[in-house]
Amino acid sequence: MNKTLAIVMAIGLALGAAGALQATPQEDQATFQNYFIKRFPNVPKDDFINGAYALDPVGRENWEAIEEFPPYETAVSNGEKMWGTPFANGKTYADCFPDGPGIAARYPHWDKEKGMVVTLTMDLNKCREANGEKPLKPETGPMAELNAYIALESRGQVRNVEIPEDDPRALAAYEKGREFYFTRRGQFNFSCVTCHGANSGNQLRSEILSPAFGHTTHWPVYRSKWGEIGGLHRRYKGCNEQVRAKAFEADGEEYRNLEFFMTFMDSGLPLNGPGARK
Amino acid sequence: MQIRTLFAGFLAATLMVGLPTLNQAEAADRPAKTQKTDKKSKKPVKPAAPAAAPAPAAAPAAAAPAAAAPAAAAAAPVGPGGAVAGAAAAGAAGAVAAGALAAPADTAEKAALDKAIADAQAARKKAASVAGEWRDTAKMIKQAEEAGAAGDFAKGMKLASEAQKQGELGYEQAVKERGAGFPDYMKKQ
Repeated sequence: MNKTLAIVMAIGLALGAAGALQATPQEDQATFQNYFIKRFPNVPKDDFINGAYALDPVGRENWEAIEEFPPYETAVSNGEKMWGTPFANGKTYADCFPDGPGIAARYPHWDKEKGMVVTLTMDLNKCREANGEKPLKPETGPMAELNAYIALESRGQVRNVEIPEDDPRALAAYEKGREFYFTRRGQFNFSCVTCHGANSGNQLRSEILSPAFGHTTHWPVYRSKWGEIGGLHRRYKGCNEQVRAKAFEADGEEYRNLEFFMTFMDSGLPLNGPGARK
Repeated sequence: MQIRTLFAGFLAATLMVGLPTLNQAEAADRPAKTQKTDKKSKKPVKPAAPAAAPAPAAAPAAAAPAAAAPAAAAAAPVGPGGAVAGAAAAGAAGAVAAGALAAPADTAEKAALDKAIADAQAARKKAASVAGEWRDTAKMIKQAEEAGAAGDFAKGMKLASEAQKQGELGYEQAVKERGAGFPDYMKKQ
């Protein structure tokens, strides 16, 4: 009798431990968002889209002054021109995206047919190639400008990323993205969360480290450091290199899955791209 | 009487210095003459000086200076200023001998560097196979190759060994980090 009881208890404990290890994406999201909401109780939830400027009143003043004459304005104009300019075959981006340019909230998404996470830049390049045009570099230059226009047209939309339950590959991609986010890498042995988790709000040299919550809402961004507009994957590359890890390819599997995870964590926040940052 | 004595002494001194040089030059010249004869007979000819042949190991390399000296002396002009010419020849011989010593040492160092670079490259690839490559590893390997090409083997070895270490650490780090997830401080909130 005692032996049976011990076996039942052991099974129960094992199942409990497995359940605790395998939190659902929704549980992850709640853990993630609650951590930052409790860490910064004076920041309204929707204000996390403003990154470090949600924490630093002086920095916010400066940033809002910059936003009066936004440095990404030229990029938006160029992107709008691209959107309306016919390809060599006479078609335009509107033929691929009949709902218009306000489509940023639909990305990234899980593509069941392809069995992979698809980004906006991938679909824009797919449209170009389908119309006989060469694909563009995803994280910089004209593609970033086109994205800036699309982001502006998508402002205020709320993104709710879905992880289809009927396709285990989608969950696997999410979990890979999650693992990437929390993996220490590079000579400095830092993970993304090292800077943007427990150290968010702390000062690093002259900068305040932004909280991870809200990181995906305002792309592409005009960074003063770059002197131009660039995409989220360009920033990923920069972060990886800052910790002295080898960066991965923009729109490659690693960064697509990472974006999938991070965007899921930011679900429910309004989009406010394009952005301006230092 | 004194002038005769002085002249005789000078002559004796000149001969003492000059004759050995002449003998050395003749000795070194002999194989060359033989070579000409052999050319006529179309027989295979051995090299005039062993120093010309690459020494595969350290022991032949050490023997090279002794053989190289006469060969160099043979090239030196012999004439009224034989002593000076001999000294110059000896210097040249030393230089050649040094070259003979340096060449095999370079070969050994280069081989060691090539191996260190190959090891570093293997370690880098192993780290990359688990997405753990560090930023500067490939750059360091390239710099090690460049240092080797420029003959700075010590610098190359240092870079290659550092790159190998980075590759190994990057691999260990990536394996250790497998399955990383939410930190406890986030879960406890």
